[in-house]
Amino acid sequence: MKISLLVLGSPLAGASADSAYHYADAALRAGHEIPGIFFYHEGVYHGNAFSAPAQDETDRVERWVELSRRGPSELVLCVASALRRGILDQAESSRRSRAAGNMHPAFNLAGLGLLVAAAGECDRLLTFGT
Amino acid sequence: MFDDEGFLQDPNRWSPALAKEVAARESLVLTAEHWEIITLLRNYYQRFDASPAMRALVKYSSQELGPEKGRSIYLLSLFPGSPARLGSKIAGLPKPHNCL
Amino acid sequence: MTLPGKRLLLICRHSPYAGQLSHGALDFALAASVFEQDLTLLFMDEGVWQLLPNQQVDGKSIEKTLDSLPLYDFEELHVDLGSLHSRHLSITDLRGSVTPLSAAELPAFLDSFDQLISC
Repeated sequence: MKISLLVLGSPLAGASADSAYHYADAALRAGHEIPGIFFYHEGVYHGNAFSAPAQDETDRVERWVELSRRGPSELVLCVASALRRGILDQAESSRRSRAAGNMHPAFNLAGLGLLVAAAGECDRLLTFGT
Repeated sequence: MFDDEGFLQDPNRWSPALAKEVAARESLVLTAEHWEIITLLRNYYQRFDASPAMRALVKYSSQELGPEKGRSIYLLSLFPGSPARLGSKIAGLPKPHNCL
Repeated sequence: MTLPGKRLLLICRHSPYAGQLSHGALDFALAASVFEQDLTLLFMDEGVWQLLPNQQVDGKSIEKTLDSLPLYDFEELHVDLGSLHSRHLSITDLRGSVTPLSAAELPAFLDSFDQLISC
């Protein structure tokens, strides 16, 4: 089955995004396809390459990156949500004269149209977080 | 004053003179027909708190100015390429933020 | 651009001014319209507050965005009656063109869509 995920929760606020990860992980292991994972709203913090958790904590950014290689699954940050929250790729960072780009290169910035397209194409679209 | 795509940074600084300037940069000379749509776009923003996508602009033009003007081809003849975007730029509206 | 036709239901469950998600959900609706997807809107839980008329706010107005929906060809909005009643609201408190759905009608209504997106 083709399954897409919509992740609304930030990495550290509650367990919804952890559930999304474990769901995606289990679905891939069960042989399903996950063409895209969409991070919207607070979910865009998952693409912050500058997050530096302590050694005994889960690195939630790296975990998505590893999963996306395995998928392969595209990791997409809603561009409007991301810019508003200070998650910028290299190009946006120079365009807006910011000190550095902090988006992990395994993620992509895109408009909502991509999520709309995914909703039309996949068999299931699951929302995680409120 | 403008962002890298030519949109006005602060919509409050818009003036008809500035609209002419922005239009000139896009190689457009504003006629009465252009102004009618520019006014319509500014009213749209007042009413709906957003810049319209093409679909909404066509329908709103039709509603407010009649079916003859509520057509993509008419709007394209005035603002070539992407009427909603180019029109919004000249009318001093913010860049459509939902990046459609 | 036409995409494979699926019937989508967007469930708006967030209070209008308690964060960005109420706006985020409506942005999704506008994007779906631009991409010519068949999308229906249902307001549920705290989301029913979005449907009250005469909202006075400093920032972006949800009411104004809802006003623009007919221009994106969303003529009809749906609301969960149970969510209304548990908040001591009734359908007459809401803006026009809202269709109420009772608890008995809701399951079949939800079932009639291919995808549910909850924001």
